[in-house]
Amino acid sequence: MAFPSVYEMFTPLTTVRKQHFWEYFSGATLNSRWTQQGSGTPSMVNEVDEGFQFISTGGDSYMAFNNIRPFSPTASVFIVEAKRTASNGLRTGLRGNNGTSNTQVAYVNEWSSNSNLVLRTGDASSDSDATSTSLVPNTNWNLYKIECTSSKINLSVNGVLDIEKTSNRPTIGLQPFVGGYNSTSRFKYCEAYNT
Amino acid sequence: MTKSIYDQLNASGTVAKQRTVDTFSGDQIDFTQWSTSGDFGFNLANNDSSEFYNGGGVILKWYNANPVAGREGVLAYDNKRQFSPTNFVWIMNCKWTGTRTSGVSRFGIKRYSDGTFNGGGVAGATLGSDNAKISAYTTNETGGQISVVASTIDVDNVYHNYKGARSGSAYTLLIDGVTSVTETNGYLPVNASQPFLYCYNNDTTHHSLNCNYLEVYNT
Repeated sequence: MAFPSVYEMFTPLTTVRKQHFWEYFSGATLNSRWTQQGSGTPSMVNEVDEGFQFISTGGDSYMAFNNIRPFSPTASVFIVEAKRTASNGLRTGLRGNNGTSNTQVAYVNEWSSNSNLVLRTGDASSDSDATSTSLVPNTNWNLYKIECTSSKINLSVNGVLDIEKTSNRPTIGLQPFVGGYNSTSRFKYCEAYNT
Repeated sequence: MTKSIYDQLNASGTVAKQRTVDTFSGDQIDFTQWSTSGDFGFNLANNDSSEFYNGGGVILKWYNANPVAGREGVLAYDNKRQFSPTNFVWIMNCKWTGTRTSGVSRFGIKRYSDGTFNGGGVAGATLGSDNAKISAYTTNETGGQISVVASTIDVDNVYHNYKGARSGSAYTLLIDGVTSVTETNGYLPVNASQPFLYCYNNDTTHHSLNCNYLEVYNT
């Protein structure tokens, strides 16, 4: 036994912890903390070592916090285990708004027909992509980690730092989202916390 | 590297006692877990101001534009009582907002989830009009005997970490992991309890209680 409480796993009692959320995507239904945005079909997957599936239709659609945005655009971390099981796009990360706008976002765009993985970020008015130099889209489980700092946004994939992006970074509070673009995506772990 | 949360919290071969953790993160409170009773509105904070980065969580406040004196509300587990009154720990991050005389907020564990607070069996903390200092708050089982034992920390409007613990006869409230106060009057619960958050209006001004972390476990 290493810790008396879950709290003390991450924070000593002498420190007021910052917001820290995690989701195992396990159970009969998805936790009511998530709200659907756009068209799509959410479901729990009844298979070993699986979690939650989202079939996105009609373009961008996803599950998020309905604009409850407790995560900092300059000091937060988002971690997700995800895989795409159909063509088109897996999209997951942090966003400052509901809807399909790419302003105020920092997310992974894993698109089946692209040659490489993309980190997309957007500030209040513009967005842009940074492309991985090595990672190609695939249908495997991947671990994505997005770190928002005061100077850049980093994307690590399967434990390896892949992209560092300094342009068009979000400026408002962010919420996690899991979804895709006319595709089918699965998720079995998601975590976000302020640093 | 230990791969399970279970092993981080429990010695090898030990059957864990009941524990609940809530980070109050997401679109809404999980009302399949929490019940509300009384007059307060319960919302997840959606603070776009700079303070939200360390805050967020659930906020208990009067939902009407015109607060009414004498109203109160409780967020609890709908009388599902899984926690021992004599061997427990609760940990919460809470922030009181308002003028101290405008009302009182209490949190910890208690016997009943009803909107009327004095239903007995409380082991918690109190912020607001009970005392100028952050205080331990306990009652006996009928609620007729109340113990408010003050710490050395003034009630303020910032987040603190609170830890309430009882092992046998002593109930101790630890604030920010450093300052502790021990209940000395012997007014303590004797029956199984549930986590709770509570607000009471003394007058017609707004006050509220934020909480962005809750953990309760039996020891």
